[in-house]
Amino acid sequence: MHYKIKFPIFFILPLIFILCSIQNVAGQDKYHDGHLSNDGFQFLLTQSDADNDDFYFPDELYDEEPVYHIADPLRPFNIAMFHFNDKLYFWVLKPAAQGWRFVVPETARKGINNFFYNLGFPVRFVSSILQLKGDKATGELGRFFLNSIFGVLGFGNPAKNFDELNPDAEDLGQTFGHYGVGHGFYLVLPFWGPSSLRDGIGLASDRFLDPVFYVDPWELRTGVIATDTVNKTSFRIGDYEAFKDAAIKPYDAMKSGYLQRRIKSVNN
Amino acid sequence: MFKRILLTFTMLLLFAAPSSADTPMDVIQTAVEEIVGLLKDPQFDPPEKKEEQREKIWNVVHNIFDFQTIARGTIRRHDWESFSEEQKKEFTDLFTTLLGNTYLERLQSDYRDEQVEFTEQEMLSDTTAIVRTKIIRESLETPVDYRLILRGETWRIYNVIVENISLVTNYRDQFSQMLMRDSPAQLIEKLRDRVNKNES
Repeated sequence: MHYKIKFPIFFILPLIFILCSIQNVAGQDKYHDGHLSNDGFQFLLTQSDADNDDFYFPDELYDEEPVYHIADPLRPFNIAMFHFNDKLYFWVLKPAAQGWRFVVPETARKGINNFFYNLGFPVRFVSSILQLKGDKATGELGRFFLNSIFGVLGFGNPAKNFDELNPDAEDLGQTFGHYGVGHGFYLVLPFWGPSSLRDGIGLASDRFLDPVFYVDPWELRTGVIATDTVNKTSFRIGDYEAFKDAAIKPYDAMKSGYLQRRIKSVNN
Repeated sequence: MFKRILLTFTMLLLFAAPSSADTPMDVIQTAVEEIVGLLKDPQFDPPEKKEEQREKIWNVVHNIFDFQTIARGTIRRHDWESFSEEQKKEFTDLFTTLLGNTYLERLQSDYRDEQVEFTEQEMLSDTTAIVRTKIIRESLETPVDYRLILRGETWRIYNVIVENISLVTNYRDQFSQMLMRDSPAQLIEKLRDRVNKNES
């Protein structure tokens, strides 16, 4: 389903070099207020024993959380895609996942989840190698063999209890980021969700390392992908709703969340 | 027998130390356990008891979250300077209500026996700390980090990071986007609409 983009990696390579010159603008907001006047904070909460008379907001409290900017020249398109994905979730994915969750026992859903994660091994392994992250590559390799053999094709997860066999997942988008490629601009992909030019290209390239991509005919491939997606969603029903409820501007909240998470993954 | 009672009593006194001795981890753990206890308590099962349950949870939440700092952190410094004193107060008030309402509703309607694992505590400075936890639901583990600041003698939460997404940064990005077009007054108006919509 979310494997829509298909073009050979060779077309992509020149683009990557163009992207190299685009850097992320990371402006930091320093909050050099020091002491704030307390007039603004007479509210606060009856039962609270907070020391409001002398509210002090330390300058550096949120300093390590820089404000990231990403260009969003396709905003109207992105907003349309955001709404498309939103409807897709509520009208198709969520009911399907609820039905699936009702019919398929948790153990089986867990097994299917493990199986698909195990299939994603080439993407994670190659990305770790490309970033010269030896420990991660070894961990991925160990996990793959242990789970494929003793976990019966990856349905089981005997590697679960070994931290070194569970490195954070790498992908090609992160690999580009690791070598200093900026996001380019924000992009919301239909079916897939929030992404960027860089990560979109990463995603398209990841497909070539994904065994599912080579499943033939396409009807079967689509079925496999749908199973994976519905199964994954069955563990997370309610999360998107919670996110949307808490957000004031869901589109911007999602963009912010995506950027924060990607920056963290690139940096570790 | 008497000795044992005496011993238990002394132990109780020892462990019921004043709150100043509570580590950030203690604060989070106690609060989480209290909230989970309230959520699981069958006496709140009937719908007419939900309001009471909500108030009790709010009391716990309210004592460990530093909403004043959180609200302040969601507005960039140069934006904050364009708020009048009155608006700063209104904003803090509305944001606290909104955050409280959203999460309490979520907790009350969605709690499905999730387990919370308290992983570690890390001191960032004398007055700031991180407590790392994991929420375990079925086979899914969600890392949730709490950042705490020492206010007076008690540790209070000034940020929550769920799966690498910082709550404060997330709201700050939304508000700064809004403040590019809207005035502080308009932003406050939108927040007020939102709070009223949720309550009705």
